Amino acid sequence: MNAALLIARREIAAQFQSVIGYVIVAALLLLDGLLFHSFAMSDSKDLSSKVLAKFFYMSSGITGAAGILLSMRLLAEESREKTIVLLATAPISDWQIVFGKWLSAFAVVTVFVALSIYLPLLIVVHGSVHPGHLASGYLGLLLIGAATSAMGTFCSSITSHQLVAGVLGSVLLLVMVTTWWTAKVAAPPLDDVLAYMSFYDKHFLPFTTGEVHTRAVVYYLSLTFLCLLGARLALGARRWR
Amino acid sequence: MRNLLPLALYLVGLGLVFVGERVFGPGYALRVPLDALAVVCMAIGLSLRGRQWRKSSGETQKALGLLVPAYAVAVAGPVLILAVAEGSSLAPAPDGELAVLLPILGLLLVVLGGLPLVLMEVSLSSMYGARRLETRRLAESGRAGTAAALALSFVVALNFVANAHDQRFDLRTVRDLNPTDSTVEMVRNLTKPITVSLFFSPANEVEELVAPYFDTLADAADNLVIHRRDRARNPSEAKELRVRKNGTIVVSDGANHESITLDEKAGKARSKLKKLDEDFQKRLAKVVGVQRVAYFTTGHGERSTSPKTGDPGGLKQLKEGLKALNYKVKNLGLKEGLSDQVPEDATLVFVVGPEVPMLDTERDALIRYVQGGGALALMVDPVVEEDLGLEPLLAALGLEAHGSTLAHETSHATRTRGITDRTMLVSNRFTTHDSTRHLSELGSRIWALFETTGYLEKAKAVDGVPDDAKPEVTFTIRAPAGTWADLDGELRYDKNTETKKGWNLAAAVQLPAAEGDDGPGGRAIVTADADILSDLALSVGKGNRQWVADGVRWLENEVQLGGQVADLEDVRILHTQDDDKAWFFGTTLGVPLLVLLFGVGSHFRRRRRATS
Repeated sequence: MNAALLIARREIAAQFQSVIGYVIVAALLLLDGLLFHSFAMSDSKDLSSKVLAKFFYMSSGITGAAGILLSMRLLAEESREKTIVLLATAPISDWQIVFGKWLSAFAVVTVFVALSIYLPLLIVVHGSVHPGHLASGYLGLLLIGAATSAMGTFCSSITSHQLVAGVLGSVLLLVMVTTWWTAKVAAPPLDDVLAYMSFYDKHFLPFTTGEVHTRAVVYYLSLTFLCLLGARLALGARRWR
Repeated sequence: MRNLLPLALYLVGLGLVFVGERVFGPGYALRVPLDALAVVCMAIGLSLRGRQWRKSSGETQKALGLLVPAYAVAVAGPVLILAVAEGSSLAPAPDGELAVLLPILGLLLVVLGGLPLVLMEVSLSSMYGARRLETRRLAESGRAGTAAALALSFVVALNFVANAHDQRFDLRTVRDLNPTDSTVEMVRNLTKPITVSLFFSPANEVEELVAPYFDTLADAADNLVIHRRDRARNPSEAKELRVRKNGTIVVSDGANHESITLDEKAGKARSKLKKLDEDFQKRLAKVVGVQRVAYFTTGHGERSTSPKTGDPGGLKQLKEGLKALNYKVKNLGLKEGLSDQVPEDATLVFVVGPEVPMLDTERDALIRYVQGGGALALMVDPVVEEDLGLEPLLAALGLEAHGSTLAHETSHATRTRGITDRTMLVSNRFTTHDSTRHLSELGSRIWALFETTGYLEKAKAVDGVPDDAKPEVTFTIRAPAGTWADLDGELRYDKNTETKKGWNLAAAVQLPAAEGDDGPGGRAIVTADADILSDLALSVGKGNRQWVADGVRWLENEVQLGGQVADLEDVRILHTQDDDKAWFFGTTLGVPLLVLLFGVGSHFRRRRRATS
């Protein structure tokens, strides 16, 4: 675990020792703020809880995109610059490499999500926000951040081009998001399976209204685990491929 | 060994099974040929690898020896699925739990055999051209595939269980219900015993939420008794109090019963729990007090208490609010005898935005009513240009109303985001007065919306009227500084002809008691905006709602029962042009800029440290 934390710390330091990390977080916050003021706060007659739900709705998209974008270079860049050999020959397991890399991306996503707290707090100025509603929404955002970072890490592990990894990750996310639509035209029992796999509609929407479902938590954690497992397999494949 | 045909055949077979069973299924003629073709494809794939294994020797045979069992398991899965599928002729249809378990076992075999198989085939193909096959690499790929298949199976099973036994936690449910000060004050002032019966099933989660609320009230008042009941165990009491189901709270003085119906599940009871304090206040008021009557004048184009659907200018919400405060709402026009006098049972009279003149007799009846100790709410529409003849009534209240529409460049609500929004003033300049008691306490945290308003001024002194006979006028709400009376209708400030100042928007008037009357004297609330009580204003403006709550109770001389509108309820957002700008620049641009500046600062500090 120490080795994984070491890798994560190195990655985070690489982001924040230059200005890049701050630029990314600032850009994400700017986007979040613009959407918040343009859409969530646009209707002056909305109830506070509805405005908050809208905020989580939009923020989930930005958090998902941030997860993919921040993780797409993690392993792809190591492969492209051949530094993956250094990592592979170091006395650390593939799991530690993958987990450390993912953790670094997830940490930056968490920083962004945590900093965005000022937006829902603005609702308090002329409305009222229940702390439980805030907590559930932010739990949902963090789970989305964890899952999409893992997706990006997986895609990054199967290619040496970070752009390709980004595109693959986005497509994967899009497919997961639109499975609800596929579920509508599928026959039973496949429709239930597809509906359950829906990344957003089935699992995230309740978080936006203050509800936490254990199945949603299990789903996002499972997805994170499977993607990291996939990345670990892809990394380990160099020994037998 | 670079022969991917067996794998390709296997995958085609799997695809055909899917098409045959899922796309077509039982009853389709194509199903059986597709299924048969699928089995043939997979069998050929398996036999191809089997033959290669038999013909090979040494390290190659050892390596292929790993592959063949994987094929066998991977093929067994689809075959089992086909065998137990509905309408299959390969095997008798399984019964009971087997009918569920066997297809799942088939899928498990597909995953446990298929995934290692694919990875091993990939590994094998990468050894093409090598002098000898590396069994170690093949075994490792097989192990990786098996581990992935097991993990996938575990995750699928875990999610299946999680979905079947989903637990829902509603974090928005109010878990810290406490009575507001005004409710405590109400129960302390009770002059007769009141019983609150909580009907819930034993150990109910909602009862656990509401019981501390009522226990707090019972501790504060001697005349309030709390009973915990179960409808099943106390059927006679439930029948007497007309309780049809558990989850009901009954407020009773023995003769009158008022109930609040909740749900026994916390998730479903959530919205009502948030309004529990407000609902309890209303029920208690009904049980304790006698019903009062609020009259709305009609026949002069006033705002309607029964507006057409979708009319935001109606008074439907006000009517409902008054009913909740135990008022009976009635119309008052010529037919009801307004030209003669205001009915004796009137507790309160509303005159909201007349657009055509009243008869002199009607107006005089209102003057007599308020001077005789009545309570009047008068809202004058500033847009009406016709002389409504209300001056004598206003003069009796010591006021003059001016119809010039007020406007503000920034302190206004947004509707069209155009210049016309400037007349939708928002103000939080509340004077400390009993009619705005809680508004002034809440100060900058609450706003009142004036859709289109004129302004009020004190009437010029009438000679010969002694000071103690003059109405006592208090301007309770003022416009924000920088508001101007728009004389030219352009909604742009003209410094030559127009003046900016904090105009008077609402007034509370206390009239002296009539001779021989020991009462407190008449009271009136006056605004130069007929829409301050409209459905739109009450739905958007929390300040408007609070103003009604405080104002009505002051008019009724029941300040001791007045309470702050419970803030547990979800409230609508009211934001203004000023706010929009401040929030936008202060947050949307400000916070990212701060992050950026912090990053640049840290970066240069690190560089300077490194250089030194």
